[in-house]
Amino acid sequence: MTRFRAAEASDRELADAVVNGGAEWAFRELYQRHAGRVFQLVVRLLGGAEADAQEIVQEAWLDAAEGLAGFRWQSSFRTWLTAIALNKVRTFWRQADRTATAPLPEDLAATTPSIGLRLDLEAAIARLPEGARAVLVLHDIEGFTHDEIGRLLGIAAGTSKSQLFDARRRLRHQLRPADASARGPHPCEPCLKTS
Amino acid sequence: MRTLPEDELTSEERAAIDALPKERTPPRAVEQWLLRTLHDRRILQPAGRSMTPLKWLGAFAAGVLLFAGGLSAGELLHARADARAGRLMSLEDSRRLAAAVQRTGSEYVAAVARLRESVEAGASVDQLAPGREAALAALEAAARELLSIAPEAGRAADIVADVETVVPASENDPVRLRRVIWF
Repeated sequence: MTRFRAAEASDRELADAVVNGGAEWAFRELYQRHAGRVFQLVVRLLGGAEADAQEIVQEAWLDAAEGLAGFRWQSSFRTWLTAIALNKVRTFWRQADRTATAPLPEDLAATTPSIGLRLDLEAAIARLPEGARAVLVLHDIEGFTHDEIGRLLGIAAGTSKSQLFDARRRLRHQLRPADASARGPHPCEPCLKTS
Repeated sequence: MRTLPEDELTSEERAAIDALPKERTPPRAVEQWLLRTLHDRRILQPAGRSMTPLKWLGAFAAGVLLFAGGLSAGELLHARADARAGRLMSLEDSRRLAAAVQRTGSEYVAAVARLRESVEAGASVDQLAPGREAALAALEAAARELLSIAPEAGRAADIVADVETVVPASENDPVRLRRVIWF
């Protein structure tokens, strides 16, 4: 296989070229295919902390490259890489002891209605508790099933479903119109402090 | 899974989520750091140096050709050296043999000259016998040296044969002595 055919090669063929020949072109192709997706995922899980996301993504790719020879291809490369990145994110969360923090103003949707819905939604996701945020991002945005999420996060599929239910409810609460938020605190407000 | 009214996304919510970006290009520095680190750890080879099976085959073929070329050159040089050494040895042998022929021939001529002087001085047959033997030995030696250089030299072979069959000279056989001397 030559680099001119790299775009046609499967992830596995590219990985084999990296493992067997140390092919830089193959690694670059793998990186180009998946780096954007995993970086966006990590940035979103970290609530927009891009600098931290860079470090995590670097470490995740490094672990992936070093572990390619041992990868059994029982899942897709993307799923495997996502799992590595998620482990890094969870380690980061534990070390930083962060609880649903995000560098965003309070009640962004209510105070800045001129900002589009997309930014409102990103801000609301960033303010979710980490566990609920991870499940919502993986399920609703990345498209993983509850079984896959259970394996990725080391939780039961049922736990993933309940986390998703909770995440959506919190999102709806955060994104409700300003006049609705003025009516008083959400009945589930105390649970926002938990993950 | 619990089935609650809130459990499914509305079409508007689904559209809003689908509108979120799915990818974000990492800064170029991330890729550069990765490539540098992977090269440092020898997981990646420099661009253009990776060895595909075709490249391995080409490298192997080139190696075989290089080896065969070296072997042929070595054989040729060795053969040339052998030939040159052979020529040198042959030339040296020829020079040595020619010198030997010249030396033995000179010894024969000197022996014949001394024998002639003895005859002219009126020496008896018995007195001439040692000179005759010396001249005969010198002649045989010269003939044998000549045969070693040119085995096809018929006259030299005849001389050697005659010398080997010659009966020791006696004082009653002056003819034989003369024949030997004038040969």
